Amino acid sequence: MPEAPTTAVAMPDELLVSRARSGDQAASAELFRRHRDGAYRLAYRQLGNEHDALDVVQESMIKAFGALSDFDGRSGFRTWLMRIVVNTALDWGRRRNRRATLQLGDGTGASADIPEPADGDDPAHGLQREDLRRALDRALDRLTPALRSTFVLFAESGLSYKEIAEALGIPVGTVMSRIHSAREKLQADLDWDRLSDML
Amino acid sequence: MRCDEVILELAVPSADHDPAVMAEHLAGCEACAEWARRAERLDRLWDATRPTEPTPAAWNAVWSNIAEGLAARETHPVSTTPTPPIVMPARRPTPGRWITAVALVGLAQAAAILVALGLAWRAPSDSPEARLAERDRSIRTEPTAIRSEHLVDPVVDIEAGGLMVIRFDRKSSRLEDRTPAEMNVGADIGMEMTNAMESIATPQMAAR
Repeated sequence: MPEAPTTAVAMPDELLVSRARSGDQAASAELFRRHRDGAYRLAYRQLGNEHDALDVVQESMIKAFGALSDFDGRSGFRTWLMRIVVNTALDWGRRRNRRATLQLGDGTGASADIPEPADGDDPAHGLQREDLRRALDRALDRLTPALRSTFVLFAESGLSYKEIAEALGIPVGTVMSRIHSAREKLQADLDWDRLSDML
Repeated sequence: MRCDEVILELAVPSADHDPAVMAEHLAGCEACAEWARRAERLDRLWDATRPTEPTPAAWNAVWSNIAEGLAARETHPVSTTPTPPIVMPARRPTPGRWITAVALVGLAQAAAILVALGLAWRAPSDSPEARLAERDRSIRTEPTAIRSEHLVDPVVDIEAGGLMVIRFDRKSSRLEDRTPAEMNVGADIGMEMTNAMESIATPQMAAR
């Protein structure tokens, strides 16, 4: 991946989008570099798997750059991209569930590109972290896709309520009630007696 | 602040409320304080489970795939023109459809007329003329048992050449139309034969 030109650091997304539309690959690369981490964290919280999250980022970016002509600029590029990531992750999750139903435990999912958690010095700590991740992921899995997407956008993307509403195409009030409902369900579902020792 | 406002503010922070007022409420409300503790533990759990960032090599691989994918799109562009909505072609009316429609309308009208006639036939009539006409009709057309008191002053209209048979037993009397077939158009032939055989067996006849 080409390094981002120094002049692009202060360049607003809208200008980069305009350049990317006209075929400027450096502008596309800069947009990718700016938003890849947020897109990755969002996809990871939606799917609970780093490998799948990377695949979703890749697919979402291809979709976004391929459809820049559809981006009307009413919301920010980031909000628009997050919407694409959420929808792609939802599709990905559905496809993965279908595959899992067909071939139980095929052992795939790990990738050489994805590093193990940086807790290697303390295996016990790494295991503890895995337990926490599994517990949270199970609780997230019990949410409806709508609640999960909204809560993940709120907790992970740093978007405002208004931006989340734009990303999901729902009223701000619905965003707030979904976040409230998701938080209540998560707090009620998690086994705090067991988890509190690990936190 | 009320408890529901405190919990809403904890779940969906809006910065609309004074933190000091929130803290005061939480200090005096154990239920809200417990909710706040759980919310804080969820936040800690969320932070503790953040995904590991991919390595630069992983991101480079992803970007290479994206660039490759975009290049492939440029080689084989995917149309971004919105798909036109599917418009179902209007069905052309066929002669068969018209005939069916007309037949259905006709059947519906015929059914309505029959229902109306049936209701008129069954509707009770209070006028003396109507009662008489009704009794006359039943005597003419229905050779069924009639209570003897109904025949105290029977109104029986027998046409010239007509033949009526009156049967009596202990409790009732019965009037039967025995008019020959050529005089009683539409009479049941089977009933005629039955009546003829009965009149031979019981020769109590009245004729005018």
